[in-house]
Amino acid sequence: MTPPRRALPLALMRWVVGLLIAAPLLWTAKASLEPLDRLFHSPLPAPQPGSAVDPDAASGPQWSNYREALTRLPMGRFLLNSAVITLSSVVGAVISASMVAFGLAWLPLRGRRALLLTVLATMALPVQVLLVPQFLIFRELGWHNTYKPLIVPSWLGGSAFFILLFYQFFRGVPRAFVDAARIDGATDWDVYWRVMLPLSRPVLGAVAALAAVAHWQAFLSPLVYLSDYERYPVSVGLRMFQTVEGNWLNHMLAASITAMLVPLLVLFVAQRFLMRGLIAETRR
Amino acid sequence: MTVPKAPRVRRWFFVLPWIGALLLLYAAPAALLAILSVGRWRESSPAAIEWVGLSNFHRLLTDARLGQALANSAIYSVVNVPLQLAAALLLALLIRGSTRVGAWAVFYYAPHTMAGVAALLTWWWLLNPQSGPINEILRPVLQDVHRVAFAAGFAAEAPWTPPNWLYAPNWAKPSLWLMNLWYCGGGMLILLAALLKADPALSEAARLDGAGRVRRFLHVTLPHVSPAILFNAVTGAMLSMQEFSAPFLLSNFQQQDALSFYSLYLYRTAFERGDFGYAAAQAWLLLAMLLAFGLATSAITRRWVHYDMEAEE
Repeated sequence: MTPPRRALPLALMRWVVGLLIAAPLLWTAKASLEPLDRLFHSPLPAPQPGSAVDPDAASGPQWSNYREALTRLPMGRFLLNSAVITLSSVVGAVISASMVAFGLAWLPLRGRRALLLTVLATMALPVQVLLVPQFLIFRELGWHNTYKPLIVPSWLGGSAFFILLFYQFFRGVPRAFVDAARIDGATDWDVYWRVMLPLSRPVLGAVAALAAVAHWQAFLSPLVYLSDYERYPVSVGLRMFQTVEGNWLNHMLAASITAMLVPLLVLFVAQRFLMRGLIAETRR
Repeated sequence: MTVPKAPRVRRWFFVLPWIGALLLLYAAPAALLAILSVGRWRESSPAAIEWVGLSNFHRLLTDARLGQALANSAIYSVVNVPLQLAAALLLALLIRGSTRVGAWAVFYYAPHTMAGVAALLTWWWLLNPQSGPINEILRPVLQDVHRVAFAAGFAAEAPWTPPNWLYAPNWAKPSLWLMNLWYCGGGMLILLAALLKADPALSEAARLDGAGRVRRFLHVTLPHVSPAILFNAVTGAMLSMQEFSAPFLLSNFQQQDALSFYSLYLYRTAFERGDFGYAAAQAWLLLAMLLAFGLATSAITRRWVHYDMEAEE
């Protein structure tokens, strides 16, 4: 489509932009492997004649930064906490969002349209609007400083967006599939579990990936609901590095890189689900 | 043909989670929000509420720091949204013709998935005016440019210094604008999907009719992506008004409240000062403003956004 005359500069620009996008991470990765004094580029004190050069002076990548970053603060604990919260939320979001979407898409329920409208309405609702009363209700329920406020909402439909993703997909399933299953004696549950879910693997993958990233990165809710630092997920735990930044800058960067690897990995694994629609379009 | 129907009760089973969500996460909190805004929450067991009338709403009108927070959020959003949109559109246009558009899209999208505390702390270091790498690069460049400009008589003798990112009132918001450009892959994905759906034959036909590149872009490409642009702009504005993590983690004393955004102010009112009633009033105001914004945008844009091209779907 693009005339060859223009193809080369465009390709070059794509790489330049790619480099600009990668640069912050490459800088950070490099800095996370530096000894601390190398990170403060203020005019380096010239080596005094006669002063012994420190034989232990660090040279080469300091992989120990990563070991220390994971052990000086209970970063290992934070990562584990995040994994627990993320996994239980993702399972809940996938199951409950698909169930709700199936009910809304295929079952003759009274008030189905009204329910669908509530799903749409909550999508535009900013989190901060109901944050305070939700906090007070959860606290009265005795959920403060537990993972329930972070996980239970995922089991109640996940988010309106996930329900809509499943809903749109389920609506596109041919009626004949469902009728054929019903003639064979399938119950609603069978239609959901044996017809819809196996068909919707790309949506399942996309929802699982988006939910995993969202819960891994969640900051405001764990900040509000958790008070005991041993229960912090990595997002809130990382903040502790800020207060000691001057001394542990390289460790903070090492810990940040570690925490960013997880969503990057999720993206890498799930890219075919996330980009499927996009790539299918280009083949057309 | 008769299709066996399951009992009605069992059908509701599927939507039960959402009904639970409506009650626990939306209806009950909304009711409590209404009560909180006209009452004072008393920390006792069980908690009690004391009627205070409309005083919380009255405070909204007289609180200068709330007004400042609102202005901060508005200024931040007004620049942030078009900047993000322009960057996203440029990236989408840049890669749409590539044979490996999917791979580029994943690459450019990657920072968006990394948006979180870890990335914010990384940017906190990158933008550090003294030791951060961005100014390490800018400093010598500015020195050279200044030397030339001074020799040519365009600049005073005082040397140019790189920006005081994040540590001056005037540089706090620009720091976030710059940082957010890194995340524009999210918006790019939506625009790219719209661009790829556009029929290349239309643009080709316009070219044969003698339309130049600019006219083809303005009259063929842009109308195709206008619904995606509107979607990005509206969600972008809503999210900018709710921005929390960045101002929470990156604000400091030197900025003199330049990053005191609305949602941060609301958080501090509720969770640092424990003033739940006033925070509830602020939540109502936020909801009212975003609702008004949403209605106004849909009324204004109905005229120029071309949904008809999507109608066939």
